[in-house]
Formats: sequence, structure tokens, C-alpha cells
Amino acid sequence: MRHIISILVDNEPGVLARIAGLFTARGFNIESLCVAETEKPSLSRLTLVTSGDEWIIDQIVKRFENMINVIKVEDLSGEDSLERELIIARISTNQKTRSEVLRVADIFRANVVDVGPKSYALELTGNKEKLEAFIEILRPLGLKEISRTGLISLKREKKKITER
Amino acid sequence: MKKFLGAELFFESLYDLGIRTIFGLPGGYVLKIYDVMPSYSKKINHVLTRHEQAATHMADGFSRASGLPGIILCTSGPAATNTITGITTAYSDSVPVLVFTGQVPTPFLGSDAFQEADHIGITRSCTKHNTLVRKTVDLPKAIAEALFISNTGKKGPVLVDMPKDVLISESEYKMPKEVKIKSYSPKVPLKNSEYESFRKVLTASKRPLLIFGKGACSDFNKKLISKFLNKSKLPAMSSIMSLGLIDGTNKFNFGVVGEGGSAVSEDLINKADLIVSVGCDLIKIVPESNLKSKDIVVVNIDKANFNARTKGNMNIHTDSDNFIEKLSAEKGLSFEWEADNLQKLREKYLNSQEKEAKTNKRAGIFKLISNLSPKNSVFCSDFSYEDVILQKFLSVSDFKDSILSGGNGTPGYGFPAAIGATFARPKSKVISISSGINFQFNMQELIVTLEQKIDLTIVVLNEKKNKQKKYSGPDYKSLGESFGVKSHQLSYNDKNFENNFKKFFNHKGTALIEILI
Repeated sequence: MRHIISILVDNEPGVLARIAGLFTARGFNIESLCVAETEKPSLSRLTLVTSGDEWIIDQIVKRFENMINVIKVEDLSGEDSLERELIIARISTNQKTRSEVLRVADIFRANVVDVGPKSYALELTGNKEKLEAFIEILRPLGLKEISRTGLISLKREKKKITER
Repeated sequence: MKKFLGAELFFESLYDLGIRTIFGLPGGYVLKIYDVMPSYSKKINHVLTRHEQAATHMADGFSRASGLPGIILCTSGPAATNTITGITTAYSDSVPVLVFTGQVPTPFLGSDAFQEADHIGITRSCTKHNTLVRKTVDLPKAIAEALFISNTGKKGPVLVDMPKDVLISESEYKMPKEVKIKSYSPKVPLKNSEYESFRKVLTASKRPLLIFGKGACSDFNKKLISKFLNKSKLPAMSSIMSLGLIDGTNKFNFGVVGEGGSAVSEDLINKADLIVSVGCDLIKIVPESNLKSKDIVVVNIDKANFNARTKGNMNIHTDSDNFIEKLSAEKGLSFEWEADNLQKLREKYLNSQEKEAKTNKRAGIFKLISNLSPKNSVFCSDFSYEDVILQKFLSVSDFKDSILSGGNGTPGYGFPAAIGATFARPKSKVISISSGINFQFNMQELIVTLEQKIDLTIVVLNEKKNKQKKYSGPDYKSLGESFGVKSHQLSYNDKNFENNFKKFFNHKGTALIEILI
């Protein structure tokens, strides 16, 4: 099953390596990983997407809690949470396809962030499904390359991840 | 304010934090520490070892025999990588050990400098925590925090990496009055609601069985457990790591749980309908199939021990001290264990132990050593499959008296750990028992026993396998003598074996006794 794990950590060197180490030790793959400072500069939030055996994920989450620099861990899968990802896609264009690309961008509410004589760069935010649909539509139009941020997630208002 | 060198701050901080013994070996990047050492020699005793792995095992043995944290000091690169086996051993058995490594000066970090290794990266997966000190002024705080992390909660090894420039620069001595780490709260109080639901399960059960592991080992618990067993008349077992926690003479002690342990271990587990495991990694020592269709309550400070695979169990996340304090205060408990049956089982356990000691030569030697040793002796041995059985033949009265490498099963652990234990318990007799093969892993430390003038009995079992005509390996008697250690050789099959052994066993200083089996 796919798991979205949100981890609040001290903003210090080595913390990310410790967390990633638990996955390599188990031979698990991290699908996506996002780290950035939070509202407090001394803390970072790390959103991690992985999939694997239920009980192993459970173990990994418990081991996160044991780490000295980890403040709070939450498994957001199955929870009511906001999920977003950002993508930047470069599409090669010519006179024929240019208007079509713009129309697709319009439908998905994507922004054009770079324009050149041979290509457009589009920027889009959304959940995983939306981004995947976007890529599929763009592929036949001349998709050249993409860059994705990976998922970030925040619980909806009821419960908020707060400090211990 | 007076200024100190980083190297001086190292000693000042350790002394102020209550450390009196360290084990180590000098090397390039920690030379400054060794330079200033003479002026601290009255405050802190430094034990010079011959190998960093052995130094780590000594600190580990010191810690297990005393309950205090063990300290290692060594340089970078090869020295630090040598400690890995020792650190992993301490990590698997949750022993508070503090490793101080030298490091290349901060401007050269990550440049593949001479004797540079990424200590933090290498030890990430085998330490509870590790840290690199970047400024001299931060050193006392880093040491205090490392000690705090290592010696609280689920204990474990912590590594502090000290670049050379940090040790040779000057700074004021700023020690925090109290260590507080925001993201680390080692005390886990027992939730009343959790205990109440446990109480319901306990009173509803007919035949509960108590199993204690290393996590339950504290002087506080030891007293309470004995009293509680006598009062509640409940059978109890301990893991091999917590041997001595339950008094051996207690009528409700059924020995060591698990394979290779007590002969009645399986009987008891099969009969019980509720198993209460306190501070013990139950799933690792008892086969899963034996635990099915039973209520299992796991009390542990580490949530990762709550196993999702044994369904229907109950997890209590707390310090074992809190739980045992509350449990031992219970009154008016009654269960369906029949006193007669229990006593029969206990007789079976004692008899089979007796019988095994007669048929198994190695077990016989353990039993003999145990009988000859005065009370409060410390026994150190290596772990191998056979040793799991062997350690149980020792009658120890305290959990600090039985020392062996459990989780990591480190060969060659016993001998250096025994050296460490002599510093922790100078008044106790310390005995190291290992097979010849295992002894060879760290035999270079024989020289340390002479330099430090310690009292230690080293028993080496030189075993001939069935088809071998000669004893393989070195002649341990000559080996010991070449180091200058008083050495003896005995043959187990000799008629006068016991008498001769007795004669050699009582001695002053260090003696090596090789037994040919």
C-alpha cells in the first residue's frame, strides 16, 4: 500500500541521511521525498511517499520516532489531508501545435513560465492523478522533459501536526 | 574567564559529568588530548589498550558490570572504523557507551585527507545518535548531551566526532546546567488507562507467565520482582541477557526463556494463557508458533518492539520501572497455577540443568567455575550457539554479574569485556571464559592485564573436534607466558582435573588457564 509519511525534524545536517538510511537498510524504495523549512526556521518538514508491507512501514515509522532529531511522525495515508505536487514540463512546439499546447494548459489551469522559439515550459500544481493526466495529454504533443517536486502534504484542519 | 584548550575541555567536561575511567589509544588527531592527559591523570584513569575494538568492548564490559556509561577515546580513520564492531555490539544490547573519535581539522573535512573517514556516516546505523562538534566552545555541551542521550531511555552508544582544530583551539568552559533536548524525551510515564486495561486482562487470565528482559534490569526492579513473585506465586522467566535479575533461589524462577534455555521454557509457555513480557524482545527468542492463541502483553520503552505480527496483543509503552512498580503493588491476585505442579516443573528444570552439566563437558566447566567463584563474581563470555546454553549454568545473584554479547554475538567479546569489568568492580573476582578460537580475536589485550595490574582469571577452552587427532590452534599456555601472564594447562579428562583447577583458580593478579577438552 502507498504511504504518505509526514515527519517534523530538527533543521540540522545529517537528519535526512538518518531517515533515508532506514529505508535503504530494509531495501525499500522512496517514491518521492520533499524537505523544506517550516514556519519555524529551526524545524523542517519532510514528506515522504513509499510503499511496502504494512508491518514494515509500521516498524519504520516507530523507528523514526526513536531518532533524536525527529519531533513528530505521522502516517497520512488514509487520513483526510491536502496533497499537492508541482511539475514543470517543457514541450517542443511548432506553429501547428502551439495553440493546442496553450489550450491544454488552459484546461488544466497550468501557467506558461518560459517561452522560446522552439518550446514552452508549463507549470502546474495538483495531486498525483491530475499531474499524471496532464503528462499523458502532453506526451503526443511533443513533451521533452519534466521535473516534479514530489508530494507535499498537510493534514486538514481537524488535527494539525504540532510539536511534541 | 579562564580559557581552556579543547583537549582540556574534554577532560574537564567528562570529570564534571562523573566520568572517572576511559579506555583508548592515541593517534594523530587526538594527540592534543594525550598531551594534556598527565595533568588530569589524578582525576581520570586512562586505560591504554592495544586495539580499538577491544577498547570498545572494555568500555562496554565496564558499563555492564557497573551500570555506568563506558567511554572510549581514539583517533580517526582506522581507529574509528575499528570501533564499529564494538559499537554495534553495544547497540544491539542497548549498552550506554560513548565513543570519542578524533577527526581531520574542519577545513579539510570531506577532502579524503590522511586517516580521514566519515565517522558520522559510517556509524549512523549502529549508534543511537552521533554528532560532529564544529566549535571548541560547543564541546562541553555536546559531551553532556551525548552522555544524556546514551544513558537515558533505551540506552545505547553515541559517537562524538572531534576535529583536530576543535581540540587545539581555546575557549571558555561553558557547561549547561541542565541538558534539555527538545526533540528527545526519554521518560515515558505509564498511562493509567493502559494499565487499567492490562489489569483487566491480568485478572481475567488463568495462568499468566512473566518474562523479563534486559530492559527490566535495574536495581529498583530487582527488589520488587522477587517480592512480587513470592506474593503472587506467579512463574517467571528471564531472557539470557537478564540472567540474575530474578534471584536464582526464588521458587518461582524457571530459568532462561527460549531455545537452548530452561528445559521447561516450552512447557510453561504452552500452559500459560497470558504472557507478560517486560523489556524483552520476545519475538526474537520465542518462536511465533508458540505464541499463537495466547494473550500477549508487551511492555517496552521502544515502540519498535511492538510487533504487528502477533495479533491480538496489547502494547504498553513505558519504562519498565513504572510498570513493575505498579504491578508489584497489586494485591489479592489469584490464579489457577497449582502450586504442586509449578514445583514439579521447577524440579524438572533444576534436575535437567544438573543432568546437562554432567553430560556436557563445557557445561560442566561452567558449573565448576560458578561453584568455585565467590559471591558477586563477574562472568564474561562470548556468545555462540553453545554459549547460550552455557551461560545459564552460572549461578549469578545480580544481572550485572553475567556479561555476554547477545544481539550481535560478537566473537572475542568476553575477554576485553572482562578487562573492562575489573575496572568497574575492583573488589569482585572477574572471570573470562571463551573458546580458543574466540579468545584469539582479542588476545593482544593480554598485555593490558599486566600493565594495569588487574586481577583477572582467563579460562580458555581448547577443544578437539571428534575427528581431529591434535589440538588445533596455538598452545595457549605458551602464548600467555610469552606475554608474561602466569599460565597453566589442564586436561579435562585428567583425574585430578578438579583439584588442579581449584588450585590455579585461586590466585592474585592475572592467570590464564587453558583447558584441553
